Amino acid sequence: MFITRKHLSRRTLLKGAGAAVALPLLDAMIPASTALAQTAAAARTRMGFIYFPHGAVQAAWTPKQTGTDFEMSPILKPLTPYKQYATVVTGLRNKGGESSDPHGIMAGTWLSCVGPKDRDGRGDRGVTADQLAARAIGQGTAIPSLEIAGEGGGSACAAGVASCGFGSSVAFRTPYQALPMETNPRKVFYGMFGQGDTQDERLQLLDDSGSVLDYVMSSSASLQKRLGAADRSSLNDYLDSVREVERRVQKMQVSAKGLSSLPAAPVGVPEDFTELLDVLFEMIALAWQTDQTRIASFMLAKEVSMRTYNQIGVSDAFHPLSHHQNDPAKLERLVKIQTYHTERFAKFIKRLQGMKEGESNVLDQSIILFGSNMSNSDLHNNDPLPSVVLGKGGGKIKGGQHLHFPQDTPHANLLVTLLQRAGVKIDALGNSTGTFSEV
Amino acid sequence: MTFDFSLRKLLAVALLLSPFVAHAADDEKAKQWGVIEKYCFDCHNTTDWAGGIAFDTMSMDDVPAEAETWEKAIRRLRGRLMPPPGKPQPANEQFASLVNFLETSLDKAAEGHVHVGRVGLHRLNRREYANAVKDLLDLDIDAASMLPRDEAHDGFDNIATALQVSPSFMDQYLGAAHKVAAQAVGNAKALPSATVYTVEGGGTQRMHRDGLPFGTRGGTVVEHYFPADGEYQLTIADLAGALWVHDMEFENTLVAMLDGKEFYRTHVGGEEDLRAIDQKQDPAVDAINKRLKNIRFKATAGVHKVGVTFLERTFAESDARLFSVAPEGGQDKVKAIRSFEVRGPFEATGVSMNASREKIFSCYPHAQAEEQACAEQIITGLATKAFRGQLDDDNRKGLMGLYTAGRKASDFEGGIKRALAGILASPDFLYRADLHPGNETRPLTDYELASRLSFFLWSSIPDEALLADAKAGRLHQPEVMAAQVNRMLASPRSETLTTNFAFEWLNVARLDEIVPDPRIFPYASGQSDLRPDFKEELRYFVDSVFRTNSNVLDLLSSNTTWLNEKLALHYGITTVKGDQFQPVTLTQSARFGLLGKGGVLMLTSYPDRTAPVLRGAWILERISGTPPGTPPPNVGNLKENVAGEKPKTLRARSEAHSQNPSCHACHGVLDPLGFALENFDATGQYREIDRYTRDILDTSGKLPDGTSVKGPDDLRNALLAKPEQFVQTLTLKLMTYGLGRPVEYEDMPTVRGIVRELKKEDYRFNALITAIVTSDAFLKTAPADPKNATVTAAR
Repeated sequence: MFITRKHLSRRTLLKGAGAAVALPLLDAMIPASTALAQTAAAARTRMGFIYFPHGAVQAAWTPKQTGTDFEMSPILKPLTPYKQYATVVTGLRNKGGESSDPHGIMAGTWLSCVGPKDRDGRGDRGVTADQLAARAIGQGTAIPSLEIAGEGGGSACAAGVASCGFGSSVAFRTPYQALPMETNPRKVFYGMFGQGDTQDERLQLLDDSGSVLDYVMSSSASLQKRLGAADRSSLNDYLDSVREVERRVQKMQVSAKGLSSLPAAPVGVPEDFTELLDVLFEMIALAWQTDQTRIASFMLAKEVSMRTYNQIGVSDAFHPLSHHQNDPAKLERLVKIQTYHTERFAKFIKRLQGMKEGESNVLDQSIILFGSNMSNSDLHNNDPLPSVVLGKGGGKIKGGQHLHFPQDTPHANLLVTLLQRAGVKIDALGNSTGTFSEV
Repeated sequence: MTFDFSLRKLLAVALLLSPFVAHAADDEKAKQWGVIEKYCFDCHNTTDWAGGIAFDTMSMDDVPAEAETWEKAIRRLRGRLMPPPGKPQPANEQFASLVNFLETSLDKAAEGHVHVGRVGLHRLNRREYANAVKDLLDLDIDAASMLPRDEAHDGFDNIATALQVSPSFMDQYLGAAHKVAAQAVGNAKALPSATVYTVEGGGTQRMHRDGLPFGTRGGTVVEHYFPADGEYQLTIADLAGALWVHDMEFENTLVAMLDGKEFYRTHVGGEEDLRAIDQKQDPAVDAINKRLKNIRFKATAGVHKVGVTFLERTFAESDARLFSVAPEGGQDKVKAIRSFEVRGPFEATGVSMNASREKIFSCYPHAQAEEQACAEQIITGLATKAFRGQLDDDNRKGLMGLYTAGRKASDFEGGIKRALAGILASPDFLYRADLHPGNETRPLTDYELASRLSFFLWSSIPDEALLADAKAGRLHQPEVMAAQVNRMLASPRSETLTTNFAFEWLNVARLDEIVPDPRIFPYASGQSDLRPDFKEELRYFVDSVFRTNSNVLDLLSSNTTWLNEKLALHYGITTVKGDQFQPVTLTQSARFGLLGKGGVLMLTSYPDRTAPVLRGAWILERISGTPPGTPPPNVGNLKENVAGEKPKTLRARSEAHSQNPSCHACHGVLDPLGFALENFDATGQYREIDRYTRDILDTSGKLPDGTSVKGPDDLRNALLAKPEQFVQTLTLKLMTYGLGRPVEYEDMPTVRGIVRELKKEDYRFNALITAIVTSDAFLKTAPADPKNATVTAAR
C-alpha cells in the first residue's frame, strides 16, 4: 500500500514510519511487573486532560450548591455515581485564552494559560500542563504522554500568530511546538503494543521477528568470517544493531504473553461518533492499565466542529448550535450535546474505577481534568470556565465537593494545584497567583 | 628536406640530439617553475602557508611524488580560482601550458599502475532497496515512508562509507522486511483495516489531475494495498455543509474507480440539493453526505489504484461569477474532495494470483507431500536472485529452517512469508561485500561485476540475463560486457541514472526547500507552484540526453526541452497546450541547456530573490568541477532594500564583493557567472528590468580568463568553449556514483584518460559509461589497508 507522508502524523517517538514499524522503538518496554496484576510498590499517579470545545451552558453546568453537599447539575448528571471522586470547580477565568480570534487559540491556551503573543519562545512560558507533567513524571513509561482527538483539524493557524496548532492541539511541548493529536485508534494501538490485529497475530509476529532475527544473526556470523579485517569492523555496527533489536523483541515476547487479554486492535476510525469516543477512551484506559503511559490528553471534538449529533436527536451542527443567541430551544439542544460528552466521559470513569490496582483502583490514583477553555459559547468568553476534576490522585485530592471561586481567580491556579498533587515540582504556570488548598 | 632513413643514421641522429632533448625537458620544467615562482610564491610559502601549501618547499623535479598537492593546484587553476582575481594573473597561454605540463607529468607517471581504489562493506540505500524489491517481487513500496533517510557524502547517498547502521535503523529495516513479505504474499485471513487518503495540495481541484481519466477534474488516485480478495468499502469525507452553504449551486458528478473502471457514481450539488438544504438544513445535508459513505466494492488481493474524482463540465452554465485571475479560470466555487477512506476486507475470500504472487510462487503444492520440494524451489530461486547469485548451502539451510518454523506456526504460505522476510532482512541482501579479501589487487569476480554494473546503471539487483553471464563466467569478456552495457542503457530501468544520479549531481532536492514567496511571486506559488513541473522538465531533459546516446555537451547547449502548458507560459511560450509534457524547440537562446531550466534557476536562488553568488557557486561546483572555498566566518548578510529608501539593484548592493580585495578573491570568479544569469528571476522567469529599481539589468561581467560575458548566451558559450572541463566533471561525478566511493586525487589520471578518449567519440554518453566500466578502477579492487580498518567507518 502506498503510505504517503500525510498520514504519518504521529510524532517521532513512534519512530518515523508509524504503521510500518513492527516493533516500537522503546527502551523501557512493558515492565515485568506489568499490567493486569499490579504488584508495584510505588503508587503511580495518572493525569488526564479531557477537553471539549465551545464551553458549557453555565446554568446547566454549575451545581446550585457549593461545598460537599451538592447535587450534580444537568450536564454533570452522568457523573453522579462518582460524586465522591469529583471536584467541580467553577468561577475561574483564563485570561491567556482571551482574544479577538478565540477559536484560533482556545485549544492551545487551555493548559498553558499564556496567549500566543505573550510567549517569547524562551523558558517554559507556553508549555502546557500535560507536557510539564510528562517531563516530570512521565519519563518512566514507554511513552511519556498520549495525545488523541475525536476529530482532527480545527483552526490550524490563527491570524497574526507565530506558529500554528493553537486551534487544533491542547498539548504544547515547547512554547511554539504543538503536538499532533492522533485520531485513528488503530494507530494509537499499534504505537503502544506493536503491530498485529489480534493477540494471536501479535504473538505470531513476535515469533516471526524472533526467528527471522535468529537467522539474520547466524548468517551475519558466517558472513563475518569471510570478510577481511576492515570490513569486519563495519559489520560489527550491523551486528550490534541486530542484537539490540533482538533484545527488545525478547522483552516484548515476555510481556506480550502477560498481555494475553489485550483486545484486538481497532479497525480504524469508526463511523459512529459514540463508538469512536468510546474506543479512544478505551485506548487511554489500556495505556494506563498496561502502564505504557501515565499522561493523556484528549480533545473530544475540534474547535469550530461542524459535527451533527443525530445519535442523540440533535441534527444541528455543533458550532452553529453553540451560537445559541439565548434561544431556549437551541440552549436545550446544546445542553444535550454537552451532557452526551459527559456520558462518554462517565463511561471512561467507570472503567477506571473497575481497574484494580493494589488495594484501590486506577480512578483513585488518577487526576483527570474534564473541561473547556470557553465559557459562554455565544459570547466566546473564557470566564467562568467549566471544569471538573475526577480522581483522588492517590489520596492527594479530597473529592466530593463543588468549589466556587471569586471573580477573576486564574484557571492556572487550578492547573498548578493539580500538578503539585501529582508530584510535579512546580510553583507557577502562566498567570497563576497561587494554589487551591481546598482541592 | 629529405632524410636517409637508414636505421644507423637514425640512431646516430638520436644520440646527437639526446642532450638537447634532455635540455628541452629541463627548460620546460624551469619555464613552468618560473610561472609558479612568479605568481604563487607570494602567498604559498613557508611563512604564510596560504591554504596549507608552500610551493617553496617543492619543485618540478618529481611532480608525481606530490600528486595530492598538484592535483589540488590543477583544480584551482582550471577553475581560475587561483591566482585569486585582483592578483597578477599569468597570460591564458601560460595557464594552459602549466596545467598541461602538470597533468601530463601525473598521467605519465600513472601509466602502467592505474589507481584501483577499494569499496568496503556497501549497504543498499533505501532507493536501491525499493528497486530491488520491485525487481524481485513486483511490488512498489514507498521507501521514503518505510525506511530512514540515508546519509549523503559528496552529494550522493550511495557512498559505502556514509551508509551506517544503528539499532533504530535496523528496526525499521526489519519491520520493512516483514511488511514487504506480508504484502507480497497477501493474507487470506486478513481482518478489516482502514486507510485514509488525503488529497494533496488542497486547492480548488478545478483542473484535470494526472493519473485520472481525461474528462475528469480534481480528486486523486492512490495505490492501495488490498491484503486479500473480498469486499471493501469506500467512504468519502463530507462534501455538504450547513453553516456556510458553499459550492452547492453547481451540480458535480462524483465518480469512484478501481483500476480505472468505474464502480460508483453520484451527484453532489445542483438545484435539488441546494433547495433541500435551504428548506431542511441539517437533515438534508446528512442525506447528501450519506451518498458518499460506505460504498461497497469488490477487489482482489494486491495493489490497485483507487480513484475518486469529478466529471468535468463547463462552468459557463452557472450563474455565479467567473473567477478571472487564477490560471485555471472559470467558476470559482466548485466542490473539492478532501479525503477518503478505504476499509476492508470484509469476509476475505482468499488470495488470488497477482503480480507479486506470480513472482514468488513459481510452483504451488496441491498436496501436503509436495510442500517441502516446492518451498525449496521457491526459496532457492528468490534467495539466489536477492543475493545476486551468491547463495551457499548453509544460507539455504537457514532459510529453509525459517520456512519450516513458519509452516508449523501457520501454513505453507505463512512459511514462505517468513522465509521471504528472512531473505529481505539478511545481510547478504542488504550488503555488497568483498568476500575474497586478500593482499593483492585483484579483478572483481563476475558476480561482483554484475552487481556493480546493475547498481550503477539500474540502482538495483542484476536481472536474469546479467546473472546468467556471470554464472557462465563470461561477463568480464570485453564484448560480453559491452553488449550488456548497451542493453542496460537501452532498458527503461536506466532512468535511475537521471532520477538518482543526475538529480543528486545537480542538487535538484534543494527545490523542496525553496518555497517561493507568494507575495513577491504569486505567479509561482500556491496553485501555481511550478516546482513539480520543473522537476519533470529536468527529468525529461536529462533523460533525453543520457538515453539517446547524445553528446553530453547537449546538456549545456540543447535547444530542446519538455514543457507543459503551465510551464511554457512561465517561460513566455504560448504555443504549448495541455498538461502533458511535450518536446518543444526553444526559440529564445537564453533558455538553451541546463542554465535555462527553471528548476536550476530556482534552486540556486532564495525564496524572495535571486542569489548570483549561489548560481556562480553551483556552476563552479557542478558544471566546472572546481568548487570555490567556503566563505570566511562573520561576513554578515547582504544589505536588503529598506522600505522608504531608494532601492538599489543586487549588483549595487554587492559592491563590497569587488571593492574589498579579500572578498574579490573569490567573488571575482563567482559573481560574473551569477550576474550573467540575472536575466532569470528567482523563479526562472526571464526579465530585463530590475523589479524594484526599474533599471535595465546589468548582466555584464568579465571572467577570470578575460572573456567578457553579458547575459546567459555569452555565459553558455564561454562554458562550451572549454568542453573538457564539463566532461571531466560529469565523468568524476559518474565515477563517484558508480563506484560508491569518493574519487580521489589518485584517480584523476584515469578520469583525464577517459575524457581524452571521449573526445574521439564525440563525447557520447554511452561511450562515457563504457569507458568508466572498462577502467581498472571499476573492474578491480585493491586490498584493504589494515591501517584503515577503523578509519573506513569514520570517513
